[in-house]
Amino acid sequence: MEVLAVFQVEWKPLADPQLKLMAKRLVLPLVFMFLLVIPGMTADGPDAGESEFVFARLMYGAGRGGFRFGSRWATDSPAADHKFMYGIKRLSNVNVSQEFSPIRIMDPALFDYPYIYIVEPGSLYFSDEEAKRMREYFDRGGFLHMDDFWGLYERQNAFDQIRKVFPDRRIEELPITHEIFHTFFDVTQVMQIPNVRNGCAGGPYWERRDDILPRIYGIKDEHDRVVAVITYNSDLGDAWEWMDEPCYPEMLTAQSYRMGLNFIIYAMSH
Amino acid sequence: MRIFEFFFKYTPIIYQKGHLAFQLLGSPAWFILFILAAAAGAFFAYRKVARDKYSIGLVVLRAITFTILAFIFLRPVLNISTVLPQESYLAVVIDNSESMKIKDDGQTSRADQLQAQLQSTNFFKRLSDKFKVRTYRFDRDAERIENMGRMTYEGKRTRLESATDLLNQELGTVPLSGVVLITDGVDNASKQWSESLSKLEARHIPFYTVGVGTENIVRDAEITKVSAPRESLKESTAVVDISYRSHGFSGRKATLYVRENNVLLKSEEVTLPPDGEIAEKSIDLPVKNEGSRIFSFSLQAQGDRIPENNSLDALVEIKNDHPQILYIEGEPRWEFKFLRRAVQDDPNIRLVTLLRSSQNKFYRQGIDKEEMLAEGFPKEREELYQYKGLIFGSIESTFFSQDQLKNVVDFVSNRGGGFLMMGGRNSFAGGRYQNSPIADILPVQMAPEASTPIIGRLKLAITDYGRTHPLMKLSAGADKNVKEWSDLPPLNDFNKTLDAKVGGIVLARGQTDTRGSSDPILLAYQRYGRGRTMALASGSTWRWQMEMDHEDQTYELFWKQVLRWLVNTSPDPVMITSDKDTYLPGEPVRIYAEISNKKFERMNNAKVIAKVTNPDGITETIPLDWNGSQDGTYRTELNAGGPGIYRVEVEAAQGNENLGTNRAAFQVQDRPVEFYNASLDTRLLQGIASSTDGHYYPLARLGDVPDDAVYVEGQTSFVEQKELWDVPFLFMLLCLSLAGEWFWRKKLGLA
Repeated sequence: MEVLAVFQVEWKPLADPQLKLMAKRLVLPLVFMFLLVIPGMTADGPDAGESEFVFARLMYGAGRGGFRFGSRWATDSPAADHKFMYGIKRLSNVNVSQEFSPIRIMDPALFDYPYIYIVEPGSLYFSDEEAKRMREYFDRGGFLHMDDFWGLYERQNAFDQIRKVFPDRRIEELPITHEIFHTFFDVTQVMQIPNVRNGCAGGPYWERRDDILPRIYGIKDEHDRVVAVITYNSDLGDAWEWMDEPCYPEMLTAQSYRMGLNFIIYAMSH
Repeated sequence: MRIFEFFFKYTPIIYQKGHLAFQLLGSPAWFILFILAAAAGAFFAYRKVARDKYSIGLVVLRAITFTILAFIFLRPVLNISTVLPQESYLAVVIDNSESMKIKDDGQTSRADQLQAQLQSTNFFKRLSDKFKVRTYRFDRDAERIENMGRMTYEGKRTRLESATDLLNQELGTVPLSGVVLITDGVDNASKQWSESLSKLEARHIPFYTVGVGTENIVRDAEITKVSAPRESLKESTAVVDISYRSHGFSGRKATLYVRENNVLLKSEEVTLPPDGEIAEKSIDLPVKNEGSRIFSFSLQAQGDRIPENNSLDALVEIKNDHPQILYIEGEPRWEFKFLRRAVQDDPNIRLVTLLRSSQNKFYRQGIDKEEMLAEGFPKEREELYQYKGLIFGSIESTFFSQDQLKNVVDFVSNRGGGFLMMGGRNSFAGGRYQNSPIADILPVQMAPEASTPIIGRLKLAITDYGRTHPLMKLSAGADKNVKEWSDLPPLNDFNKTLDAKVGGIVLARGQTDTRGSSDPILLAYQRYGRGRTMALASGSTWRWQMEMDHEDQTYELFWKQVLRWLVNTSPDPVMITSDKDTYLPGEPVRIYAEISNKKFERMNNAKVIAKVTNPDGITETIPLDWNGSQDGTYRTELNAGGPGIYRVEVEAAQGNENLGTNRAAFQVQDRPVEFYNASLDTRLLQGIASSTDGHYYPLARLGDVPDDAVYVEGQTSFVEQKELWDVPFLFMLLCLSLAGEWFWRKKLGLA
């Protein structure tokens, strides 16, 4: 959930207090640079080499505050991306790329990546041009996982934006019997996957009081295939990222990896 | 008087049939002594000539002179058998079929030409002076007629054996001196003509064959053959090959029309080939609705003198079949997803997939029973043979047991299934298939060193063969089709293979930017046993889907065509076919069935019946019998009834086990076959004359027949002697040899 968390992974090996202090002094400038530069950089496109599956993270703009300063597309990255892909590689036959792979909506290379991940769509904003491009992406066969947004306000924003892409489609809650929960692991219940702070604190796991239950939504195409899966009131990204954090419940980490792998297998088979 | 008779006094047939004799010699062999004596005399005459003036040519000329003189003075004759007037019969057999109405010159029909010739030569009167003449007409059947007024020239078919059968029957016991056969030589219905003819040959009855018409009809365009698939899957494209030829239209344009129920489906312009040569044109017909469909193909050229031979039909049985294809994929890949999507809306392809999502985990899709593929890739043949097509994705050969790999080979060679290997990191040499049984069935040879796919952008380029192959057809026009292929986004990988095998056909190659590298094979196929195999050496055609507008259907079309091609010729356990798809009324229809059990083992002791339903809806049940020579092949024969579509359903059972059923259809059409391939068949008529010791005459020489036909050996013949001493040619030769010798002698100063 937190951008800072990206770097906590990298801090963990630094046991020496002096090194820790030096590192902490570097944190803020680095974070600032990351927020400032990375979202605005021109991507050359993610890895398009030998790997079959690329976990492409969509670089999106924000509705308020402008693209550079309000967007949270990079949340949990790149640690979540690396660790999740490492897990997928270990658990399955998917030939995954280990590269951090951000991709802009308007980048021509978008269509090289039939799977994209959007984090924190509570601040998501699609211009008309971007919405049109996203629709084309889905119509060609692309798949989206949207994750880590909480409460009614953020849900409203996320749904408003996704409806720009799919004005003709319903956003519907997917029953746990849906195929997308059973392509690799049999997931039998929807668990709330908390951020690392709530997870380590032992609860409550929700983040916004106005709506506390986790739900998984989907958008289907004309052949009844799910083309977008939306994990609302859950933060799979944090669970992927903090899979090696002792205080984070292992059961929730396992659930998030299982769900994520199921989504990938579904996306690669439907 | 013709030239031959001017020089040789008699007609050729007298020399052909007569035997040389000398009235002053016991045997013609003695004449050799006279030749030797003539040579000796000539040598003696020139013995005293000086050496410088001597020439062997003078001796030869003198010897020729002596020989001719000896020949003349020995009273040479030709002994020839001649019939006694009115003591024997002569049959005149005249073609009564429709082809006699053809106007070869555009003005006068063959029948009218014949009639004119009969009258101008006083044919029947002259024959009647010497023979008891019996006249017959024949087409499909033969009958005796009293006069030419009974000729109708309406016969729909020509069966020469009908005439010879009748002659054997009616004139088998009377002295028959010969048969005059007047026809254009078009025989389109005889079954055992040579057997029937041999009975007359045995009686030494000569045939005087008279050819009506011309060998090269001027200004005629004709469809000679239409080759269409006997059956095709619904919503697919049937490729029909049309053969046509022409006379007098070389290089000119004509239009080929395709109609169904008189509704024009397609028309294409073709260039007519040089005289007599056969050209071919392939036409793609999208077929949507199931059932027995009759497509009519016609060729129209301006100024065509025989429009009756411009059309042919093809019957295509469009089946709403659902062949199953098993696709095993060793790892989740985008090609897997997009391939499944591409054929998802194809009602006639059932794609069953087995995806190995982890080392020991499989994800099954497209199954209709829970137990289907529950144990993974089929271990038993019977289970594998349920499918008509098989696709290997990126999955290494060591995943399969040796038995499973052998089963796959048998699946292709024996069951007749289609096999496709797609590119990937565990495909071809990357999957170590080069040392497996699968190497035998693939259309390409594998490069052992190419263990991983080569990553890099490459464009697909169709080969010359691919340009015309229906599998590679993205749009109707040839140029547009090539452009569509070249406009496709590049692929991202390929498995390097070596050359295609001897029987392998390369449809597409890759074009890379790498200098010096040869264009790798991307798509190739071959036949293997009863089945067919294909190699697609890339796993990234899905980019044609993601990198082109979502409305573009190229990816879907390509894969639908590939999968349909894969299963199009895969047989069912019960297969049924007939020797043709269109018959004439009364023509024999041969129905064949190939019967196998579920393991595709041919069954020779099955009970096989055909239910044939005629156009009036009346069903007749006919048993089929094992043909005794080919395993699992059964046959029966029936006679075609009236015009219309006949439906055949074959059921096979062995004991209590039902082996299956299958359906087919054939058409009976009363088409004008007499106008097809209607040129005068001189070779046939000359062959008949030659084998019966008769003679062939063009129609213009019809008048020779009454004179020649009298020279026949037999009980009603006597031997007539034709003197040869006064043959003009002998005197001319004598003069020439004397004059030649005189001039030569003069030149040498001897005269």
